[in-house]
Amino acid sequence: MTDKAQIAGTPSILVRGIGLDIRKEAVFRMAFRMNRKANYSLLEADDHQVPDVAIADLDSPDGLAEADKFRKENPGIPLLATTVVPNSFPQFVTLTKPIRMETLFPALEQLLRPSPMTRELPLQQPAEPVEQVQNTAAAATPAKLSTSVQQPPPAREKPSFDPNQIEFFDPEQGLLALVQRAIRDQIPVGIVDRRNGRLLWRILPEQGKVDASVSMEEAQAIFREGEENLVLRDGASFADNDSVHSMTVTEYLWQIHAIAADGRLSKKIPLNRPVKLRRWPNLTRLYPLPEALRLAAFLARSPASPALTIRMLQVQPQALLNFLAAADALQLLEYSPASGVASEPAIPSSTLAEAQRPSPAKRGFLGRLLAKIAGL
Amino acid sequence: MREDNKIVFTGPVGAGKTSAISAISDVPIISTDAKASDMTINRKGHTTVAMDYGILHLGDKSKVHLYGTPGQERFDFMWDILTSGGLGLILMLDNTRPNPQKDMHFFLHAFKDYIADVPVVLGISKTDLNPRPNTADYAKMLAEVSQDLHMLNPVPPIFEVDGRNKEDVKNLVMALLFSIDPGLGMLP
Repeated sequence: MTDKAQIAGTPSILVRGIGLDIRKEAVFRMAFRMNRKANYSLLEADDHQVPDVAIADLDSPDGLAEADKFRKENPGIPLLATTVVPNSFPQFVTLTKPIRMETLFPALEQLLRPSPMTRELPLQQPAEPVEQVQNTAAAATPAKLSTSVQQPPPAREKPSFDPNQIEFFDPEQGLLALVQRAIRDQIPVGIVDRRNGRLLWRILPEQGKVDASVSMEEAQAIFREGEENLVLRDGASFADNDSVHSMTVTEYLWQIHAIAADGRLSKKIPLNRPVKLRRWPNLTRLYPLPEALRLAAFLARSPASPALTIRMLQVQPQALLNFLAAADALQLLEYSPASGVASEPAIPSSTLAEAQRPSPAKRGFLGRLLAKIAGL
Repeated sequence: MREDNKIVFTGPVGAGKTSAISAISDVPIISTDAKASDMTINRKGHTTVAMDYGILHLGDKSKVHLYGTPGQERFDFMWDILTSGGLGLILMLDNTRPNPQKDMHFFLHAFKDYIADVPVVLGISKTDLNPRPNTADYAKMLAEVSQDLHMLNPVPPIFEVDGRNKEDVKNLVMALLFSIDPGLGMLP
């Protein structure tokens, strides 16, 4: 099965990976997904379609041999070789690691630009192509990349994401701020719905717990009706017929911030600057948020801005923004609050730069395993 | 690829490895008792080793082998056999043991070569019996313990788990898979 992006009206450009381990394949797939200009699709190992272009990792154990073999067998198919030592492989058109979006796609475009007739020519005069590739890469400034990355997504079944449509909330104002302060100062308080006097939560910081009379879903509905309906009150009691359950303060903070975010971005967190997960949330003991495992894995691996995360993982923006609000409430995030345009590398370069041993597992296999585990 | 589809569960005796494998295995777990015979073992005397084994069938004849290492430290010679290739390591730590940090240090160093290539996930068991250290404490311990290690995922998942609880074990394994590739399961 190929990893087909379906940019409307754009045919797939099939890419054969050579000597790529599973992590590098994964990063290339993400890079292809977020590229808006062309519809690149990395072929699975067992997919025998003829590729339009190949990408080889010459630094992997079998990369060079496999690249040589591929070129002998497919002289008409352009091959982009990636390596940390480009001067060692004058026979190839090379792209120097670490690979970045700014260099990868211009290089691929450069290789694919010739007409089908010129593609029949063997790619054995690398000096000029290498120079062209490198010059092209150098010409692509981060600012240009950023602009290109932030174009509205084309018509395809990806989560729609328009940075201009992002709504914000301030966790340092209103009820959330009061809750945080009560917990910090170890002051027991109740949160009451002023419309009916019902006690919803009783926060007992010294005991490290919160008693609740509402479910997550009920709480979400109450918040949507207006946070101003909720007030802090001492001495309130649960009604006799309330079904009260307890949770830890940590669970409560996670939950209440995700509810309050409700698909909005915390004003503290910059949309276009890298965010990193300092450590994973204890997800087996926290209210399950959609995509939390995937998001935690991604943000723990290398920093990425919220905007980039949405594009690379194709998660619904609401899922990411709720996760960020909850994780930030537990002080699990690192980010620079400064404003400004994005300056991060589009591909987590550390991931690509690391020389990993080739993994035996393939993406399709892991996907089946994931589906199996999720369905148990 | 076939023979490398392994997930290794390790940790001290009583951390819940056997229960965790049982919770997700498609077949009843097999505990293997084997007479020690090779030179390495003979140096330590005649002994018996045990290993837990379960399987996840994925259809089309693909399967994932679930291996549980013996908890006893003296059996670490087996771990190289278990970990030649594989998908990842699930380290289960017992929160009621006297020194969980020492356990963490021991098992991560015992698998130091393995976790340079594959991700590791930490499951902390028996937190209902002993709530401290908590997962934040374990994250701090990890920073100290792993200073001389090269971990593929230096910020690994650390979850409280009960090895008997299928949902907890599923989360451990899914966290492991997402640590390999956060893009798994995305819309094609």
